[in-house]
Amino acid sequence: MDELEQLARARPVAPPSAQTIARSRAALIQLAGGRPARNRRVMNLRARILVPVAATVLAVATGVAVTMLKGGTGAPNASPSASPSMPAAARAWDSANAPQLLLVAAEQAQQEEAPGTGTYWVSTIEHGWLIPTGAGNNQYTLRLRRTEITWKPLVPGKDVVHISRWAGAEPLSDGDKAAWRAAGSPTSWPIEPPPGCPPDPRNVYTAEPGGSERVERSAPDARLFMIANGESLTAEQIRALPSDPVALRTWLLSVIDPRDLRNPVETGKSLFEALVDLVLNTPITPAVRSAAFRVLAGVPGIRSLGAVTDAKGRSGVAVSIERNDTVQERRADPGGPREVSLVLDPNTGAVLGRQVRALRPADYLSWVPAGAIQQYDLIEHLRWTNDEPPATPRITDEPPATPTPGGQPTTAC
Amino acid sequence: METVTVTDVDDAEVVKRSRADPECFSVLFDRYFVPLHRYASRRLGGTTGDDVAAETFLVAFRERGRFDPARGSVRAWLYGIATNLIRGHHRAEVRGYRAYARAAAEPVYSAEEERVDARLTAAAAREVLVAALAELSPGDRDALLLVVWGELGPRGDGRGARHPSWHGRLPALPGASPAAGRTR
Repeated sequence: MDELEQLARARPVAPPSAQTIARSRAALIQLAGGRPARNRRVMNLRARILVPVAATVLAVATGVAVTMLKGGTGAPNASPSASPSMPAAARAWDSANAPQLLLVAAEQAQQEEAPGTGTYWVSTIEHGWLIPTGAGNNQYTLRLRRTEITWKPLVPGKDVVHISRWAGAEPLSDGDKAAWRAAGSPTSWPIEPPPGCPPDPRNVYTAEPGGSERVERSAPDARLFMIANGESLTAEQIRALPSDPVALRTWLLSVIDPRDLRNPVETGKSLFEALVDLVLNTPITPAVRSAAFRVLAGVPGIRSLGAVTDAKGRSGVAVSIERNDTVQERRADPGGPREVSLVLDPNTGAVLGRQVRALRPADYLSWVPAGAIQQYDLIEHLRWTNDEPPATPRITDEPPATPTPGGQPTTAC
Repeated sequence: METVTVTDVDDAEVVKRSRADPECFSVLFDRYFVPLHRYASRRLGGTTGDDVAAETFLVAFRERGRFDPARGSVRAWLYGIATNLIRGHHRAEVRGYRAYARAAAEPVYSAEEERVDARLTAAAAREVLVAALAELSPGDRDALLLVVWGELGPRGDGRGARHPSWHGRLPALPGASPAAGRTR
């Protein structure tokens, strides 16, 4: 093993700079903050709503649906609902039909004007998630919320600025509220320490929003936008994505990990998640968003949830896919099947967000009430601006180590 | 039998908990970024090493729903992700080894001739070894470097790093006699 000993000592390297650590950590925190959360009940599951739409829109939409179904990618639930022979005024859109709902949204997205432009693309997204709390027999579920504002520069020489604002916590349901009252109506809850670490009484989640903001400014990586489990793209690449649905689908399939494309069911799920990433987290042009909806309309396994009220109380329509419902998925994640949905504003084709509902929570998620929205990312604003983000020093030194209300311990212990 | 350390159990618990509470994933960053950065940088150097180390955690975070503790430790899983990412840069990696060996071959002069001599012998052996890395197949190189640079033992905590097939593929090394191997 002498060669190994020699080799073990060969090519020594310097440890990462504080800035490298801070920047890498900020990227992770941003992603982790930017992950699911949500917790209001989806209303009127699969209700059929009637939404009047312009006759031309419907005609175009239906035409495209037929094309896509011919292409072999149609959803199993697809059923034509609006007869072309109906009078235009009475023509209605059956929201239980996921492909059609998406194609209408696609039409609406296309009505939008020129692609936005500016120095920064700013997204404000509320994340919600659940944790179990309480003591002894009085366990209950808390909904936690955080607002994440991200400034991503689309011109060279500018920094990424990420602002994380605690948005409060509350018991999830009426039953949880009762348990919370029984526990003495606490206004803060201890954050469980990382496994292997002692508890730190300074780390709490507070009922009140606010407290200190976490602001991180860092030099951007060239590849600012991440989709499909790790494919990172520059702003230019995002803006140059094809607006032709077939080309967009082909491109997506080329960047998704082939291990996630082993059969039509997995392919459908992977496409769905990648498309949701794309419409939720990147500054695609209206034309590409429209194409993304058209691709979604043809994703195998996609379903309509019909009219929903999202966790922020906004009305929308949603399409969904089931995750974690196959044997392979459950082997890796025993938390039980869940429904991942994309919520849209049917009137504008705008994306409201992504919600994840626990269907039959199990194992490490067995404390989650069945049917609860376990996580959500809901868009408050997506905008372009030439303004500058709040001034704050670049991360050059130690990563922030001071715990804040609603914050998270930032060191291994 | 594998030895399961307390950290392994804790790490797996962090991954599990992070599925519901995403923010706690940062604990793994705090535990493993520096060693993973060292591993990636030794293989790739410079900003590519930085990028791969950072990207490893982003990929791991997104893949956390699929981490299966039955198949190995979190540490081995992270090194596996880093290794996959490094493979995407294998041309740069190979170029780096050759360049390193060439640069290291430039003699270093010093007044203390004897010690220089000893150092050169050891250094020369290492250069040859590093240059030889360029000639290994990507799979063999991964397996080897996970052990010697990733510090994932081939047995002990070898879940994730199978006993590699590089054995006997490294060239016979003139400078790698046992004596030279122990020169500091």
